[in-house]
Amino acid sequence: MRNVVTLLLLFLAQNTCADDWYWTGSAQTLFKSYNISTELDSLCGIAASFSADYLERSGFSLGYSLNHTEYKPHFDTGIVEIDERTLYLGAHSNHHPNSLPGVLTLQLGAYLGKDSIRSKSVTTTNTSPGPGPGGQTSSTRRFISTDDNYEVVNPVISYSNYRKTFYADLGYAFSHYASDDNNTDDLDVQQWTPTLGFAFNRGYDWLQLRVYWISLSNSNRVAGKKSTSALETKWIHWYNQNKPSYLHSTQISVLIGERRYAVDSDSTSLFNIPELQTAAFSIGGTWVLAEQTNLLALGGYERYENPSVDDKFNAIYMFAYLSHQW
Amino acid sequence: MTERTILIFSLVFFMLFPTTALGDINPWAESYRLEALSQYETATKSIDAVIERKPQHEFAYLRRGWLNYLAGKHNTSIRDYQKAMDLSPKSLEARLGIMLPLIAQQRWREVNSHANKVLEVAPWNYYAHVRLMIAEEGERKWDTLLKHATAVNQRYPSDATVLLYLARANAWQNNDKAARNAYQQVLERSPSHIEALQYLSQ
Repeated sequence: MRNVVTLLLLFLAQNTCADDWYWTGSAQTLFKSYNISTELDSLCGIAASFSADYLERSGFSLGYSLNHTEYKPHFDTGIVEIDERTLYLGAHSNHHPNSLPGVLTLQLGAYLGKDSIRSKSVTTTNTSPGPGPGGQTSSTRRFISTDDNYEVVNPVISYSNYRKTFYADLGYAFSHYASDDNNTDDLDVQQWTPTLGFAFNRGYDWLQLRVYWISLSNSNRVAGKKSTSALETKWIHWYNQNKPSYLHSTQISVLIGERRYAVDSDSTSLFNIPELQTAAFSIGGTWVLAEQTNLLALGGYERYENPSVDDKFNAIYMFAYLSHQW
Repeated sequence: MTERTILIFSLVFFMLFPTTALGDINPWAESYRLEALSQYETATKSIDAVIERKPQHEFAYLRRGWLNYLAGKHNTSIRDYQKAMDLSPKSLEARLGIMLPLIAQQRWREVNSHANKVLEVAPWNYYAHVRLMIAEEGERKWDTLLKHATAVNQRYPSDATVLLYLARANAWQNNDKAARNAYQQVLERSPSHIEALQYLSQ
């Protein structure tokens, strides 16, 4: 491993100039509150990522996220909280084939993660021996921890014309979930995400449509629902010279349909709670704090269903993403 | 010898040695003639013959890079300019040339890289500065562009292009008064400049 790193560093030193590398660091935070859910209460998340691009030719990125999900406290048994830790590794390379008037990008993302699930259980024991009404019982509450491990690979091939007025991509993701708990089945998820994007209004507006086709393997996690499909529509408006102070762009996103265990290659995030997402809406903006420093803030609403316990609920969230380029 | 005999001998000679006859066409002159007629792709073929004969001909790659750029074959143009750079690593012309197809492909970081390499050895090279400003505008680095255009304007005060970038950078930074002043100066140098007229009429 050390030899590989040394060779890579030697290659970079010999073949590239330090000024030709562009480094970006980012930090993000998410707070989500679940309403009228019989089980879920809230989610807090933080993440950091780092990426390096060699001119417009290629690049790699590395990210780590930690999400803490709290469950409703009134249950005597069941899940209390989940800590989710995910490591993201990504790489991409851009190609300029003669036959196309644009850039072809090959991208590969990989996620490795673990959900540490803490549950409560109650053990009832007989404290006085012997049968009959004279017998007494006592309840002992104890906590159990189980791990749910997951790996995701997410290749994407995309094309954008040089004028940046048209974009298309085809993404695929394969996710594998395996629990330590013998009562929880493993799960394999395959996802296809064709995407189209168009610029209009002289490039000041952007409309992007992404379809999610997700198929799930047989598992007691998915309550019989083996395939879902959804359409996500995103509209971004960039401001011209007469912009409100520091505001660079605003965006609105709407998701209709059903989505479960989705992989979002734009935000490099996983939606891996077992509940079925049935709608989502978000609105936000990007502020240019300094020439190389941007802040994205989003507020959103999501609707979920859990058919196994007939639970329909929604969530509101706030998301902030700060990035700086060197 | 009669005129008829001379004509017959000439015809027989050209039939026997046709390549000699075509080879007499100067490929450079032909490429300039076709360029003037906007037949850029055909013009590159004249240079192909030169490169076939002399694969290390630096100027032939520079010339073909330019013609391929004009023909809209940007990848081929980049390859030609890159070959010229490989043959002559100190060539500023090859670096200035390669920036043109890179600008056409909006590869701003690569333009930035080549422009800065030219400016390392020729600090006030006009073309390198203008092409760097185009890249800074493409990357929407308004603060950098403003400082850069101000500095270049001090060295090239009569140039309308530099003033145009100064005006745009000021406009994007919401410095309306400075933007108007720069656009006004653009109109002094180019009285019918559409962008300047539009901005000043707001």
